[in-house]
Amino acid sequence: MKYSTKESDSFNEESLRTQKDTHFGFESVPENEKEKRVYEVFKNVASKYDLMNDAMSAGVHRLWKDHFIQRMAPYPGTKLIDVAGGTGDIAFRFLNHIQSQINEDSFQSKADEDFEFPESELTVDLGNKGVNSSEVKSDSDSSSSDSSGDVCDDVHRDVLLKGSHVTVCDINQEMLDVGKHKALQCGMVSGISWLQGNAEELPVDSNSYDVYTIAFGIRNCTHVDKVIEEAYRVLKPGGRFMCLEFSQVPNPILRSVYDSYSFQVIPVMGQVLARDWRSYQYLVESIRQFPDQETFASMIRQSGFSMVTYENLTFGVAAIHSGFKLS
Amino acid sequence: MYIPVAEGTFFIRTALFEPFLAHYGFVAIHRQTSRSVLLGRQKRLLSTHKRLLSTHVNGSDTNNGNSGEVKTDEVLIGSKESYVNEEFYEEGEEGGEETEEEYHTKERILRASLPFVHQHGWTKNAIAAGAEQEGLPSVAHGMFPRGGVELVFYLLQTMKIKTGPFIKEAVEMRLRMITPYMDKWPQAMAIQTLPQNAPEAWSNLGNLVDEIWYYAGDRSNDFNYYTKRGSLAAIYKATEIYMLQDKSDDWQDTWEFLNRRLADVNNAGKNVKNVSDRLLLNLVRLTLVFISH
Repeated sequence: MKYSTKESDSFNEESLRTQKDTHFGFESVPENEKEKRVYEVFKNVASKYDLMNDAMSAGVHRLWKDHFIQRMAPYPGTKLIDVAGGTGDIAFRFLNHIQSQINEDSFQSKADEDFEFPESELTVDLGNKGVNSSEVKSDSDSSSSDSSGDVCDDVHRDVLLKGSHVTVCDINQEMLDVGKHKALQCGMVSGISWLQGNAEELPVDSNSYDVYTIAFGIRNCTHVDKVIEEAYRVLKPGGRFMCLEFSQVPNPILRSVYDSYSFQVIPVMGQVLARDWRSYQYLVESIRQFPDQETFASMIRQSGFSMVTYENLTFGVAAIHSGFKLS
Repeated sequence: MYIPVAEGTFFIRTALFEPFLAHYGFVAIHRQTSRSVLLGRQKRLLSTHKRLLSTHVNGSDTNNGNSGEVKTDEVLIGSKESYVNEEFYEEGEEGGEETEEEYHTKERILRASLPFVHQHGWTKNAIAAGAEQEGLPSVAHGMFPRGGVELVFYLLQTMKIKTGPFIKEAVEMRLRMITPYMDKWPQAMAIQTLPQNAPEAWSNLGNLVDEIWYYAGDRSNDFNYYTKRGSLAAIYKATEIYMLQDKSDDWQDTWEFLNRRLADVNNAGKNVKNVSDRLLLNLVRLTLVFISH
């Protein structure tokens, strides 16, 4: 309980305070320093990031992210920019979702063709896709089969993904490296690109993406409003802004349980698993500093988004905020 | 200390007048159906009456190939309906107001999605296809979190607007059924009013108007349910009596009489609303004057 009162008070104070200072967890730091310190945090935790996510949430963060993608329900051809998506959790799920849709479609059309057998065997199973796609490649286009394998695979898979693409953007190169490594490991080579950049000034063109996602990242940005405005800029008309972020648990009993877990267990876990108490102390504090569902929704609305909604996950521990850019 | 008075008038207004207004709208209403689209639609229609007219007449509805006459009819009925619903929805809605642009975008997408239903069924796939047709990203289907059922509701909503003509036709059809016995019908009406026969006559009439309202799409479950049926029963009986002495070809005068009665009820709704609004306004003014002295 004591944390929650502190949280709401300090948030109000923060927002009233002059532009110079911002919050870093419960600490107050100069604005220009926050970015650096956040960078440090994620540089330190990058290698253990996924392990810690699993440990802290007992795997529930996977369910949240799966649900997040299901809410988005992207169709083939969708262009996604995943901001603060360093380790690629959202990006891989996005591509998998699209792939499964394409598989379903081709299954459907095959069923429609009354089981005409194999020539058009273009479906790619994601599990061992590397192998499969090269096979398909050499089957269908044997004349140029010995040209540089990687590029051809890319082109081929781009065709299979029907132009779907995800740009993973993160300010932190270490996190991107972890993501790239994971991508290589599971054979996700095409339909994905990696970009180092600040969410407050994305190095991409305006009106160029169908969906903008930011999962567990916006909390760490110095100017949340700028980030949302930037999201508005890069989205096409009709595009969707989706944000998965820790939020506030409205039920006081659950909140007290959640608070004591956060403050008593998570930093200890951080120390044991990642040898880093302070970063995880920052994590739980920054969650308390982040505005609650309604406040954040109104911030999104203020940046010009329409049809702004949110959905609580696990009693409000996390929430999906969504808005559309109409024009 | 005058606040209780003000509250009292408010109570009287909401509890007594509103249901009348509702039923004078003469349009079927689903209280439960509307969440996003229907709600938005009705609020939209209400809040900007003029814009409604221009939307329906000049807007995209024109390419549906309806005749001009029907269109004006729809506009009238639509406006009544929206008016009525506003009263219900104002309190229940938890989210923010839907803007004009949001409403039009959603409507545009749903309209474009309907042709894809044959291919994709009532699913979000159809909505996604419709969004792409409209030049929007397919993820715009996320504007309809309930998925395909929003398409169904949208379609029903566009159909429901024709309730007004439906009721008129239903009454007419029913009255035409008695024309073969018209020479002896006064007697039939008379014996139905005898005390021993009246209960069944009343319940027959009740069932008749209930059926008409039901098939017009009405599912109201409040006081409104009775007022709607009551007013339709009155119109039905009045027209029946008029019909007894009608000597025109094909009972032409009767159908005109029926039209006028239906229009009367619509107008009465409007007038009652105006009067009660003015009354309330004056009462508030008076109250303020009292307080300030």
